[in-house]
Amino acid sequence: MQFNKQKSPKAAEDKKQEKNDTQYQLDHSLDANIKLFENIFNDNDTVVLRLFENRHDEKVKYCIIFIEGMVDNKIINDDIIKPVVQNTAAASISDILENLKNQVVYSSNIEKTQDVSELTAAVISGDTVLLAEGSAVGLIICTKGWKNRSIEEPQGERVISGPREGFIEALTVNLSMIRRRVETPELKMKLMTLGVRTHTKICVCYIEGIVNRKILDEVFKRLKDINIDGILDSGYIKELIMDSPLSIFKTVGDTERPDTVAAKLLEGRIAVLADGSPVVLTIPYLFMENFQSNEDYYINFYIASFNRILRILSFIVSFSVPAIYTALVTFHQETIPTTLLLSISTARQGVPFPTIVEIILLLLSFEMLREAGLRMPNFVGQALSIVGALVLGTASVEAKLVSAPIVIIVSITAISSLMIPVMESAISILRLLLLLLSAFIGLYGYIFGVMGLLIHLYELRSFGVPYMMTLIKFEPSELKDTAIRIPWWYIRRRPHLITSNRIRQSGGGKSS
Amino acid sequence: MRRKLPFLILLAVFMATITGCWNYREINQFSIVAGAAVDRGENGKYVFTFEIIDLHEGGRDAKINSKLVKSEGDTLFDAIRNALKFIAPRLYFGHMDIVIISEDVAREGIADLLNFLSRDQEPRPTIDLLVSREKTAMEILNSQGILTNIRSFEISEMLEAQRNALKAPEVKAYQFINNLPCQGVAPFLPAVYSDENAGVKTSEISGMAIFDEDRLAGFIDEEETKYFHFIIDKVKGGLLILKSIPGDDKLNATLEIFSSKTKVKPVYSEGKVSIELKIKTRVVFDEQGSEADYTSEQGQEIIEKAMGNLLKENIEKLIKKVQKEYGLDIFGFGRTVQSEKTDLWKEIGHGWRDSFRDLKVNVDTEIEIVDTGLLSAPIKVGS
Repeated sequence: MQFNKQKSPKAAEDKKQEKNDTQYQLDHSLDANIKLFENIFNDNDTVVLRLFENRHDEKVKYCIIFIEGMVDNKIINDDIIKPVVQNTAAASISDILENLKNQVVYSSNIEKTQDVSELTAAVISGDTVLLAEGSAVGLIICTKGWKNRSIEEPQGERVISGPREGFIEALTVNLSMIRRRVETPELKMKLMTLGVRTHTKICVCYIEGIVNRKILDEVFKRLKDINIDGILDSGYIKELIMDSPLSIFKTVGDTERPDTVAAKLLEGRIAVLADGSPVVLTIPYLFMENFQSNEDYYINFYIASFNRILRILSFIVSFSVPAIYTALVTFHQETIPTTLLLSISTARQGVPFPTIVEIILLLLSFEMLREAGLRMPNFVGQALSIVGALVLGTASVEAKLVSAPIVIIVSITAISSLMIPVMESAISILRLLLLLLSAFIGLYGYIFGVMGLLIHLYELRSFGVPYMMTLIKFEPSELKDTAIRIPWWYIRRRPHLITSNRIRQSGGGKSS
Repeated sequence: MRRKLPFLILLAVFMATITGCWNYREINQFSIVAGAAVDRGENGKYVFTFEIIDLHEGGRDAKINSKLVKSEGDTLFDAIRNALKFIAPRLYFGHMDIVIISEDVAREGIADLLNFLSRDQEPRPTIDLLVSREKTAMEILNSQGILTNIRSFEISEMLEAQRNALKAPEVKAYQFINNLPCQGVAPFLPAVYSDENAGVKTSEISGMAIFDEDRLAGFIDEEETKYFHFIIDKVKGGLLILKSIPGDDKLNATLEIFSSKTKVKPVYSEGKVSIELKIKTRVVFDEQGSEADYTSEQGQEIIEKAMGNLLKENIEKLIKKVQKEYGLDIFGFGRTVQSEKTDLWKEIGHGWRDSFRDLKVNVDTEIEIVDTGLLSAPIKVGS
């Protein structure tokens, strides 16, 4: 089954709205210009139009336009109003704004334009626009200043050892965190704006010389194809640019950790950041990355390899165990060892539901508990775990609503699926599908399900790179960083297909 | 593709649901049979007795017990289906471990039982078959276990443990069936008695039954069964006891078998086949009744020699007995000839039964004491 990507070709519809601004023209009269902006920001009470005059020449009038809360008031007071008001050369200069721009206003980022839509956009994004009497142009002065969340360790990707920084919602801060880790001019950051109404800034990062040009072009192509009114989180972009978006597996990675992003960039991958989202996308994303954690590279490679094998194992366990249990208990009783059969059979005495109903009931209640626990404040979470453990676990078994083995099966499933939070949603769906297949036709169904799963996985592509790349052919150098993580001094090459510049360490990494 | 997708999904859903759940059965919808006993009723019908596992409802401290169900029928399957006259859940044979056959039934022939066991998909081919030496086979099933509640499972485990005692052979149904069409070997089964042990009415496995094709021909006792194991090279453990040697009649030495290897070699000379048996056994000197010291090399040699001779004597006696009384090649000498001298077998194979009766078997034994246990000299009493 192939899940084809579909995109809405309707593009030009929203463009009309934007074009409205171009009918406005700046005038030489300040009053007219003020009228113009009052008209644009009609009913927009947070927009401030502040009029002031030069101290030495009251005929030289100015107006600054900004949005309360989006700007740093200290900059406006000290670096714009103060020098402009005190400016002595005001009257004698013909092009007053050029003078202000070059000699008066203290700002690192200042721009002169007569494009009204540009001025409007600047005001909305938190900059200040300075207009002067007699000029049909405006100055855009960077005064952005709002409160950001402080940099914290991401809750979803904690590590025991390793950097504790996590991305925040501000794009510029996030970019700086990446830049600080990869201090090379080869690290390129291309900005673009997406979202017809939200005008969200997007940044594509890659390392020139390592990145695969074809993949990069494909990323830009898909980003440019996006036509949506708003991008509130990088998740929007992820879904819009992902290959096979109908698949339960994600083919675009996401992380909140700058160190992870830096590592992926060094492997030749591409990062996509969106303003307002602490989640950074990495492209391409392969199946094996689901089992890799940034910590694997910081701790001893034996432990890292062991942990990875454990994660792969728990992936298999968590989607297989309920299905296999159901198949064995309802179809293939011969395959269960006699003593186990007896204990399962004893436990099932007096239980009213068929095995499949029991399992689905408990699995669903686990999923509900999990979902409920996610959104609950911590103190309610405790009550939830008591209800989960006592009511579901103990009481339901004692009340003979479910049999004890089922509780164990569901617990194993839950624990193992929590081990790989990255794949949890995929696993939940997969688990249910395989369970139903097994419930209908036993192990036969399970085998079919797994075959289907493998076919699907091998069919997937992430930006042209096979999703199961490392598992397609046996190449020792490709396997060094998959199920196991071999010591750094042996990882001399980058994975092929992702990049053509594969030499990671020239010569032997280790002096030997 | 987009048109096809809904159809594919529908197809998958219908395939799974409309076909139903073939062979679906909940684990508690059947009664698990642990073992069965086959008897012949007075009216000539088959009497099947099943030991079924009794699963109590009852949480954590539920005990697993067994109960017996008896049913009659014209054929074996008929008897099985007739059990539904007495109990509700269908009998399930997937975990049946033993089938005990009464002497009467065994003498008549067990071909139909074997037929049923291998045709039906539930019973495993690895079921242990036994012959009851009591009046009925049901008595054996009715005996109590000393340690466990399910006698059938225990008997099966006891048979497996015989590799360290050699009192009875373990024969799986498939092994018996495989031996049936073979000219060069006669099938055999372990024998089981009912017995009393420390006040418990239990059962005991001892010796073996010899079959002429599918019909019981006779029994040999447990001592002979031990030597039988040496001939068929199935000795994994067990004991050899040397009661006395010339000059030390209180010896009573016990040798624990460490390993044993038997080589069977058919020799063809002057138009006659004879068999050469070479038995090499490594033992540990474990116990002795006298105070004489046999730990020296010479001492060990004396024991080795005496034991070797005794073993040889007993084996020859057993072979003679089987040749004379039954004329059935339970040792599989014929099969050895067949596999090692194929051309010869083509000539003599069809007349093997007759030639077995006066087949010459040369036995050569070699005992090697590898260890005298933790003692380097026997314990002295008095003086």
